[in-house]
Amino acid sequence: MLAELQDIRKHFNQALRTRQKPVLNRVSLQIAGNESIAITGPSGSGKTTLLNILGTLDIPDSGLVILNGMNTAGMKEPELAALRNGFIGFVFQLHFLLPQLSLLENVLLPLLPLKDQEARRAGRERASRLIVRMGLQDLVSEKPSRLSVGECQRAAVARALVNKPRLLLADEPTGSLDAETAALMGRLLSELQKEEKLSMIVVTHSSELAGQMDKIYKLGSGKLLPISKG
Amino acid sequence: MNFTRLVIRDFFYYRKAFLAILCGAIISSAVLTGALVLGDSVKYSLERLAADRLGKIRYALHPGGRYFRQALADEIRCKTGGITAPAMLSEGIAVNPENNTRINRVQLVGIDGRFTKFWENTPSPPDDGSAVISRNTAEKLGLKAGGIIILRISKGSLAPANAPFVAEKNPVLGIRFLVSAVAGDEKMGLFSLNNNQEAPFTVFISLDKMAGIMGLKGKANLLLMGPAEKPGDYKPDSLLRMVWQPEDAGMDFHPFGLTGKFELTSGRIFIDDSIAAAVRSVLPRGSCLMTYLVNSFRFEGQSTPYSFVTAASPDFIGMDPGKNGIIINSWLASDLKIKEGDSLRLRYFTMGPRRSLSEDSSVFVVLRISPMQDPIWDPSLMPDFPGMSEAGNCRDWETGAPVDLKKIRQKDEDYWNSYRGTPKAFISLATGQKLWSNPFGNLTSIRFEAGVKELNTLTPSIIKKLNPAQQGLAFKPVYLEGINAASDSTDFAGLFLSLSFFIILAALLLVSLLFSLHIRSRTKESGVLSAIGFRKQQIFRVLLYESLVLSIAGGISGAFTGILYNRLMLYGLNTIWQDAVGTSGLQMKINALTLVLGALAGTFTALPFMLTVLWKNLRRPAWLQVSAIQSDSLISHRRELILSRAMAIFLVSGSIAYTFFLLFYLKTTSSSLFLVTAALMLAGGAFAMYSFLISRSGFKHEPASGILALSFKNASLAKNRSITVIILLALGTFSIFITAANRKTFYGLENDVHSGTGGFRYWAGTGIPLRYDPGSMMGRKEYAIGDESCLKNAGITAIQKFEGDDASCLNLNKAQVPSVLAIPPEVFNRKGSFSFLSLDKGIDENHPWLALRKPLGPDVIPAFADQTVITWGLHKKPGDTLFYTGENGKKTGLKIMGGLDNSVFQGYVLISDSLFRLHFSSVTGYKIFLIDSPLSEGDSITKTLETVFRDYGMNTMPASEKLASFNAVENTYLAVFMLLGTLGVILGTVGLGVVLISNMIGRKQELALYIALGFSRNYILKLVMAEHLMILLAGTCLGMVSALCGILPSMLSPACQAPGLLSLLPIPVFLLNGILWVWLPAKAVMTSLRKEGLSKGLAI
Repeated sequence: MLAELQDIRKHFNQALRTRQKPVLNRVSLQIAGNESIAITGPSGSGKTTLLNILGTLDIPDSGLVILNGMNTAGMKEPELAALRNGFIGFVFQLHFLLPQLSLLENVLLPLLPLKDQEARRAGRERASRLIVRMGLQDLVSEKPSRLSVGECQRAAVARALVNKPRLLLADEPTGSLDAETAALMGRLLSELQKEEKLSMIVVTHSSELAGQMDKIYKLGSGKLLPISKG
Repeated sequence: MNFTRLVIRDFFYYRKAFLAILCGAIISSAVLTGALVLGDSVKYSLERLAADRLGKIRYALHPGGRYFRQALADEIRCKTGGITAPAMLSEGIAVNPENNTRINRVQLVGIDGRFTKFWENTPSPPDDGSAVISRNTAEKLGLKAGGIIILRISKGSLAPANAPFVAEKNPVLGIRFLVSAVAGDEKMGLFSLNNNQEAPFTVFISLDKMAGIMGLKGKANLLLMGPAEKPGDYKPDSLLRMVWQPEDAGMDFHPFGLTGKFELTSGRIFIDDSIAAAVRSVLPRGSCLMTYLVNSFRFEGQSTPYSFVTAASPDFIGMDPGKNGIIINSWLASDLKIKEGDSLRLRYFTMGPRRSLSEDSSVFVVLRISPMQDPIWDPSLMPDFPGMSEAGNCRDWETGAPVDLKKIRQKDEDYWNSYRGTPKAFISLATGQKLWSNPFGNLTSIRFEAGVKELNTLTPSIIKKLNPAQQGLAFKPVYLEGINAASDSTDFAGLFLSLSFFIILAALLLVSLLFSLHIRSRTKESGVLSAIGFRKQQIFRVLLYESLVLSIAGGISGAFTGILYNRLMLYGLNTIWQDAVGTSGLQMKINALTLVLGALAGTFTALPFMLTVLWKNLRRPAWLQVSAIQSDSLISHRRELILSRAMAIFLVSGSIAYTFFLLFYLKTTSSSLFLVTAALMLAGGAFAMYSFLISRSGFKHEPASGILALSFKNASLAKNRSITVIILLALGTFSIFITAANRKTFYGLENDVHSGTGGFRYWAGTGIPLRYDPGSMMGRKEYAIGDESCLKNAGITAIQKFEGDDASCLNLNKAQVPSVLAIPPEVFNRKGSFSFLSLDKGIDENHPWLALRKPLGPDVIPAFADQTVITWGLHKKPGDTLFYTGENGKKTGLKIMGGLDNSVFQGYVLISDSLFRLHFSSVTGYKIFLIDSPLSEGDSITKTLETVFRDYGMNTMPASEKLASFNAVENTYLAVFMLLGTLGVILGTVGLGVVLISNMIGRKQELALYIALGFSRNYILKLVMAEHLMILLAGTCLGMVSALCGILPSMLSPACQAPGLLSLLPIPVFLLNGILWVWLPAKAVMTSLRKEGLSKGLAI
């Protein structure tokens, strides 16, 4: 397995966990290589929390997160950061491009923590290819404030992929886009998943986007349940 | 793309936010550097003043009431080369007869051409009829070169004025001089031996003329020495030992009678014990004699008045009269019809403190009646008492003791005409010394069996045996002391750092607030960086670089801005705050090192505030950063709430308990101790408010049901920022309230005996000391004031003064040897005058003054001083000892046993008059007077005293005014503190505005929602205003309540009163300022909301 969640429990409020129901209650999930999964569910059901836990941005109250065969529970912050930098790519609902940087600089941003100069050089080449792939080659010097929301979101996807991650986590990637752009983004993500041989977890409300994924799960009442496509 | 580039991009993008933070950092660094530069400037100015004051003078020898040969200066110069000069230093009165202006205390300096060499380009030395006056004297009297000045100069005498039977009528002479020149400040016009930035009024006249006026031709009492020019390691005191002569020690060897033999007498009447011992060790065969004036011999109702009796060693009278034996001459035997074996009573005066005379008597048995032809009846045995020895008849005697002239008979006059002061009786030396011992010596003559040749051989041996320091002849390194006094002067850097503390704190908190807001605005950015694999350390590094650049830039720019701040402070001190420094001559001095220090201090004070913000933000989990949810609103605060409530209860109850402990157990009103209670109350109040904010923000989730409740909830959303501003405002209010309360003012309490005036209505001082205590019967008689009706109800307490450095807050230099006052402890004890802030453990709190009566050891005597003098002027504490070298070279320790609460005695060390007489015996007369008078007669009493003692330069002023002059210094500092504190508070209210703006920007959606829900804009404005005004009021109230705890001692002290309304003016000023800073941003946000429209607001 590329990634695996085992018996994850999580309360929103740690201090009140004795009185509150957990938002994630013994959730388990196995993610194989080159697999795409959609997670749906009503607002507040814990989808983003699940994604944050999988992406090591958050830690579960109990349960295991195994990434690339490694249990993340014992990992220290630098190891987790390295995992997020190389193994995982994040795409958020809002693009979160840094307004002070140009599009290119934003895409190149994940290369900064790399110490290996060869990896950096390769990353720069890959960034160029990704920018072209995203159709943003004419906008590399532009600041985010001069780009459309769709362009920003594509740049964010390029940034997520620049270090060639094996697991792409996308949190409502089309949530802030209009229907047409959202459809394009959905297709782009599917294509990229195949081209890059990625595993991809997409949290979404969009049934259209969810339909493009290999598997669909629904999160509700703290439980993650598979639902059949179609 | 690299980290540096990222940082540069950040700077460019967030330039406005960074500029605001930079401004805060610059302010704190500027104030820090400005205070440090001010310290340098004041030290530099004082050192420069010391250099101008002393020119090339390096050492000075000023033996007080003793005089030496002027030639001594030249004899020393022969050894060293360089400049030496004799001078005569005294005090007098200067009058400009044209406009009748006068200075009641001028420094008179008798000089010649040798003196002027210590400075460059000085005016020519004055001749016999002219005077050179200092610039300040010229300005005060309205005189210039060519004008006429009248000087009143006190006559001098080799004999100590306090020695028994030494008196002189009309000791003050008035003489006209032509002003030949005005000496500028750098041209000897500032000359003074005192380490004080305030130059005395000085008049220079010819040395010979002055010595002549004083009756001391060829003598000087000041020897100045510049750097040596001849090679060699010269120690001034060693040089002095090489060249000094017996005359310089007051020794007078001269032949007596027709014997060709020599005797030693002293111009000081009584021979110093050290000299007597040295002479006797070289010439052991000499006869020791002590001649004393007795009031009467009495035998069976017969009395012979006013006669001399000599106490002599057995070798002189050929027998030992023993303890009670007496040898009388035939004239006395005949007068009293007394025979051998009869008992004879002697009545005589003994001298006590304050020149008080008490008549004692002793009974002797007549052992022998000797005829007048016997050579022992020698008129030269009578010492050369000024006022007596030159008198034509007994009725002309000026004895310095009350002589009842009616008792003098014709036969007494006949005896005086025939035998002059020939003693009428001899007693044993031991008995005489026991009865008439005094601090000036116990012999009046030593007669030797040596001729002139032998004497010439033995004199060098006698001189060698003596130490000049024991005769008060010791050089002081005045230049070094002056520079040290300037170097150790009031620490203006520290003082202004303290005074500017609040403005620095406010600037730093503003930096912290602005930086916190900035970092919050970039929380998502940190979250994204975290999500794409940046380690916390790497994110921290980026933000750290930015913080470093900001704090370094702030530190450096602030250091240079500090020069401007320093210039402003110096301008204030030289003008409106001159009361605090007593000079307008402070100059700016910029040291590169100080600027570097200031820049570093600025950098390293701002940096921790920024790093704290960074640390707090990066501590938050990454998912919170990505979602940018305010953690405060989500995480439960139960633990925090319990902790802060516990702290609030603990601190507030601690404050109350400590207040009761101080008031009822320790029974103290020490301001510093009450500040602790105030600090506890402030901290407790802050915790209480913090817990209130938590309770509103957190887990109870009570529904808001009104504008106020909603405001509380909103304020609690950013509770950390809210509490920061509350603390800032509370500290500001606290400082201003405390400062205003501690202003020293009087509201009709100046006559309270416990206040700083001691209940005395007037303080008076003279330029020339009064020999007699005008409050005593004898003094009233001497000065003929006994008949002045208005003075009958006046109580005058005369105080002797040993001149030293002014140790009050009026002197910026560190007092090296503070002035000592001889006070009458019984008078203060009887009145219950003054209050004490500290007392040594063994002292009776009900009668503290009486503790001064008892010596603590052979050379240690108890002393009191004003607490401010002890702490700030002397840098000492109760229990410490100050050492004084007496004129006999002996060290006396003045142990500080207690500190007075803000009294008129600031600048002085107080000891009892009886111990003063023993240890400062050469100090002549009284210069300070405390006057008690009925309210209605105050004016007439002071006018009468000023008229009677006009020639002595008496000045009177209400004692409360004297106290106010010291208070003016403290009040000026408090005014500076209030001003800087108010500026700090204004800066704090700007912080409030910043909080408001940030809150509003972050809550545009919320505001838009209010509008969507049908709230009117005015209602929303009220809501926003209420929320932030609550912070403003909370801070102000917390500060005021805490301050009330701190000013309890002020309210309990009789010297202080509750602050006047005017002094609390800053509080409404910054309240209004705060309201403005709340209203402006709130209005701006509402306007922007209107312009942007509802939909955009909701879309954000």
